[in-house]
Amino acid sequence: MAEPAPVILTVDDDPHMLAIIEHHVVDWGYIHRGVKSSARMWKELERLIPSVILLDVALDDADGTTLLSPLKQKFPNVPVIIITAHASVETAVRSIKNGAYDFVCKPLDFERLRIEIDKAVAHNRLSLQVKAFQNAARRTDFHGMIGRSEPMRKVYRLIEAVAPTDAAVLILGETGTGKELAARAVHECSQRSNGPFIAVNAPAIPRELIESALFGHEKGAFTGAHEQHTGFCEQADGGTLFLDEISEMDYDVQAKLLRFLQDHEVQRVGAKSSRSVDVRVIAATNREPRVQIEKRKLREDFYYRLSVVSIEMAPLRQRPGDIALLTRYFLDLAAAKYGKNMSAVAPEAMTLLVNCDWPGNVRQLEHLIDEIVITNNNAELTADMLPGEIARPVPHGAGAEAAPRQPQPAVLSIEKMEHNLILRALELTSGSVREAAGQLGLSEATLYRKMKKFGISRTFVKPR
Amino acid sequence: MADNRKTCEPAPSGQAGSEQKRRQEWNRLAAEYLRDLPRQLDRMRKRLQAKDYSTIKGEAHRIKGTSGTYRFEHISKSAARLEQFAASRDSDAIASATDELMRLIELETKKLESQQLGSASDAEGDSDG
Repeated sequence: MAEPAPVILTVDDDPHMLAIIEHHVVDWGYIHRGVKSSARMWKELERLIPSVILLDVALDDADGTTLLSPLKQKFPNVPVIIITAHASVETAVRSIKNGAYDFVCKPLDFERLRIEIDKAVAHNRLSLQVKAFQNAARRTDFHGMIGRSEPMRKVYRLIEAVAPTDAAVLILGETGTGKELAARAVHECSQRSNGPFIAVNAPAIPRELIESALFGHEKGAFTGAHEQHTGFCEQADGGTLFLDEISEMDYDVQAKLLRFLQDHEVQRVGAKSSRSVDVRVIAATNREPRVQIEKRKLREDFYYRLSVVSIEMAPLRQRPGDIALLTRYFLDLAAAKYGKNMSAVAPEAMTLLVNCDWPGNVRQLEHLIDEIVITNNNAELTADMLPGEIARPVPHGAGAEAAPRQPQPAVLSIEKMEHNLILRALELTSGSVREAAGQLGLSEATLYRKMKKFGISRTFVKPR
Repeated sequence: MADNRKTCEPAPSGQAGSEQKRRQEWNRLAAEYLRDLPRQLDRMRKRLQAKDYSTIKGEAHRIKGTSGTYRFEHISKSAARLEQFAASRDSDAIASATDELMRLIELETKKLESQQLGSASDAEGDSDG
């Protein structure tokens, strides 16, 4: 996706000077706006925020250096390059003191001007990114987690209570609710925070390699084991091992992990002896454990060993009060990531976002904001940027929001939404399963499995 | 007078066509500027009658900067002198400096026109050959 060209705003009362600057600036790949007075500059700045301002000192209606202070106050991230015909040290010092990024002298040396503009554009981009990251960091409420609703407060309280202990923790919640973030928060609040945090997404690891991935192997232990390998359980020594989607693990791997949980000993594949490790285990599943036990997908003993403390992550639809916070956070983050200026959400758009069901939970919201920031250059996120299913929600009866959800339709709806999300991610990435998986926050293997489940043909994913 | 205009034109991109287009655009802007300068001188002459030295100084200052940027260096230097005369409120010197500026503008205009004619016939020659 092509990035829009940065805008350079020149303020000079001579139209011929504006014309010649535009001639060059456009040739260098920038968008140019020229205005002849300070009054017009302020008017133009109501419409757009440029990347750089070129400001002549001797304007008909103002001394350019007196504009520096108010410009700096209103647009602290926009570098102002002063253009002056008075090549005096005095003017230069006064300009820089008043907040100019730099100054250039008339007659203009366009090679120097180009260097100055390129530098100032890079400076602007960087300061926007820093500002956006700072904003995003300020918005987190608890170790990178966002939300002030009661369900989230309950999660924070539980994490604070369980973190100092070494008790095993099982985190439950639908996909995209932030289970790994909660696991990280437990780790960060614990005595182990200086140790490693190793996250294992078991379904992403091929069945035949899972044991070696978890416990490691000795050189020559099996065909292809050319070197000794340290498994995740050993890598996590002194820290925390996070096992995601445990009910997707093979039954016999669950048995081996259960043994590991009991004696904290690791025996690499092909090794004659075992070694002791100090690891805290946190596990997570997006399925109902009782049902998985009944279906013999999850070992009961393994489940009991893991669920000393259970933390339940509420789906986003059960905490609509957090949607605005999350939206602003992801907007700041995306603006920083992609060097964009989008920093506000129109009230109408926010209402639609808050009223959406979010079957893909926080992850779905994050990806939507990312997509909007990438594909738009406006300063505000507006309702027309939202996809159809959010902009035109299916009307529901009064009181429906407060009413408890009926499980069956919700399951159907989630599946349908998941199907649509996968299709959309594949469309956006021109059929690249790897990229689509990244965008959806899934492993490649999981995405392939889901594509199979939904009957999304492999022919669809061929690059177009 | 040394013609330095080429030095401040955009660097060649390797595409002769677009380079020629840029040069033509530059020449068009320069010609437009030269056409407008006599009007600016007329305004200054009127301000001289009203002994409005500060406006003359401002106008001369602007011509100094812009003509220099267009690489009309003699015009720029003459405008710098005019700016000084306006600062010292020397009416006679201002009058003769505006006359000198006018002559330099005419000279540069002719030079630019002959350059444009030359490049047009070059282009024709290229297409004939």
